Amino acid sequence: MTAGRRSLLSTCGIRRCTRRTFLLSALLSLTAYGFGSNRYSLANSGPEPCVEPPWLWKTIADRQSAARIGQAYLDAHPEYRHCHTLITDIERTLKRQDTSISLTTDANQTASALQRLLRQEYAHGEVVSVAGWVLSKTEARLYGLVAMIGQPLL
Amino acid sequence: MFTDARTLPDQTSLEADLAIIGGGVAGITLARTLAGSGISVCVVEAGGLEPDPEVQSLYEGENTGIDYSPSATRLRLFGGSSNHWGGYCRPLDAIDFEQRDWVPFSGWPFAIDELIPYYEPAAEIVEVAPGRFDDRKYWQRVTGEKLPGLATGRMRLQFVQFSSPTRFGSRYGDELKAAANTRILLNANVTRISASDDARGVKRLAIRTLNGLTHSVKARYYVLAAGGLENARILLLSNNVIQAGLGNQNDLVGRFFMEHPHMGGFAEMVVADLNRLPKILRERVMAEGRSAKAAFNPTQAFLREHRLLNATFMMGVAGKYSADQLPEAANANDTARRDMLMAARRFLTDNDDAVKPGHPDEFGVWLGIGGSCEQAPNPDSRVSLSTQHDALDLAKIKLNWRLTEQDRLSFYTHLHSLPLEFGALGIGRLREMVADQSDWPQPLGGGSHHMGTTRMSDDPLRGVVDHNCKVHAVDNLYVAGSSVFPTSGASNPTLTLVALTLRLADHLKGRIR
Repeated sequence: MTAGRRSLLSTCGIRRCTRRTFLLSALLSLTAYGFGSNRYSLANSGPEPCVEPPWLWKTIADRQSAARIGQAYLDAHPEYRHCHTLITDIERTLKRQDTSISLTTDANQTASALQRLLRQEYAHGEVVSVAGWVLSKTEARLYGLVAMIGQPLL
Repeated sequence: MFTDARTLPDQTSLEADLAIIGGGVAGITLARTLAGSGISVCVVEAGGLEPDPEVQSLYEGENTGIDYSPSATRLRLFGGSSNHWGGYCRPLDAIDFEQRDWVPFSGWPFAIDELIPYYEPAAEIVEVAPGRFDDRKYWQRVTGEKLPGLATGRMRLQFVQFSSPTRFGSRYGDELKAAANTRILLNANVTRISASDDARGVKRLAIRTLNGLTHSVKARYYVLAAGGLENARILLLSNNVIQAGLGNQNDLVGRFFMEHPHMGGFAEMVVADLNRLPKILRERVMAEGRSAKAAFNPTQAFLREHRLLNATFMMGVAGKYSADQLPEAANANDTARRDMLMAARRFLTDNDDAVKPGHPDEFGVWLGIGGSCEQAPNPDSRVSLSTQHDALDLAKIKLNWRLTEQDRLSFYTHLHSLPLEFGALGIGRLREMVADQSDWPQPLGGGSHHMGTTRMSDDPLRGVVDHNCKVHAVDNLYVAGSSVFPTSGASNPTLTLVALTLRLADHLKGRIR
């Protein structure tokens, strides 16, 4: 069963899910997926809907490529297969680096801070291996987040 | 004067103040340096002026260790292995000379300071002078490109300078031919260094030619300069007094054979904006008549902190991606590279704008990375005599090149430094291609660098030659070349062996007069 399928079933409840509510849920989720580049769209992420952070698409140049790398990361690190965990982790790491940063109001500032953070992580050896690529931890989690948001639903 | 030993009357005996066994880089350097000094020199070269398969076959041997060809990695003709030398020049690092408690049998009998006065004259001989091996400012100035400051403290940039390369035979042959006190005896195979009855001195060299003649050369002093494999073989064959071989009373001759393990295909890097990777980091550049390329070497602090062996890495552009090729990927590696180029694009620039490639169609490049590393001195890595014999009825060499886990772990630790440096600089992303790092990357080869088989130490229990390169307990026999290196560092040995030979020449001038 795909993560998307699991998510749909959990959204409407396996036992109580009528054909009508199932289709409605699917439509809502597909809409969210189709508008994934919008700042606050819903995306499939597990039991709860995932709100894309506003800074995400300021940092990721290509969604599909990042998602493929991110999927490899999630396969090796299933404990991060929750977008809230990923977002919380990334934002907490960012704030630890720059306590004054506002993560909701200035996406450009956040993107710049992310770039600095990644370079610091490389400099300090805070890296993981993803399909052979040596990536900073936060970079890998960013791609993982993209993979979760970009997963097909059905 | 050049003399072909095959044309001399049988059983000719020649005399000189100094006999040099081997007309390669060390032998020619020594003979040139002594030319005009009033010291008569006879260079005994096993080959001729041109390659000859029959002569070259005398270098064949048995191999019982890592796959390695004892004959293909050296050349038996005047000029020796300079005839296939790649021209890489860089001195050893200061730490390479030190006794490091984490490297067994490490430590030269002197510090790098002893060789520093000889490195620049050596650079002139191999035609790369002046040496600018760690002069970052110089290379920035002459290339007009700012070089990145590495951020992790693990790696540093150094600069390899490339000789044209100097082919010592053709480059310096005429000079030696004209030297009044120098005779080059060609096609003369030394079959034995005959020791005196008490083995404290050398009486003469026994010589045989492939057309069946025997000759001898008698001298006051002798220098064995036949290369890192043949030096050991000739000493082991010279067993008329000491059964184990001349200079081998402590069973050290031939042991500690070292190479520089060379690897490729173990990693690759993608770079979205080639402008961010200065040219000298990815290809040889010509500046003020000199050819150079940057190498990535571990910092000495990192080596000490993590108790590692030395290493060196270089990279070159292996392929480019154009925008119009993007939708289709040729294979899984292409897909992986393109995915990384596209995903990480905004992290590989200094600002938030999209990367501006050098060419509108250019999307990014991938670079191959090559590396070589120091191997720890290992007594079980060795040259000995085979039961097989060559055309002169001499025992061939038996080579058993071995590496240790320490060597491998050290290499991989340095490999792991590269993605950190390039990530910290925002230049590129690196992919390690070795799935199982409990083994070496394949293919694993050497650099045709034969070192350590007559290692230098002032303790006869740890070395074949002393700090003057004189064989312990033999008063008039010296060894020149990289076989005396106690440790190998991660630099190609040619420049250092020339510097060591110049130092030996100074010593001999003082002693022979």
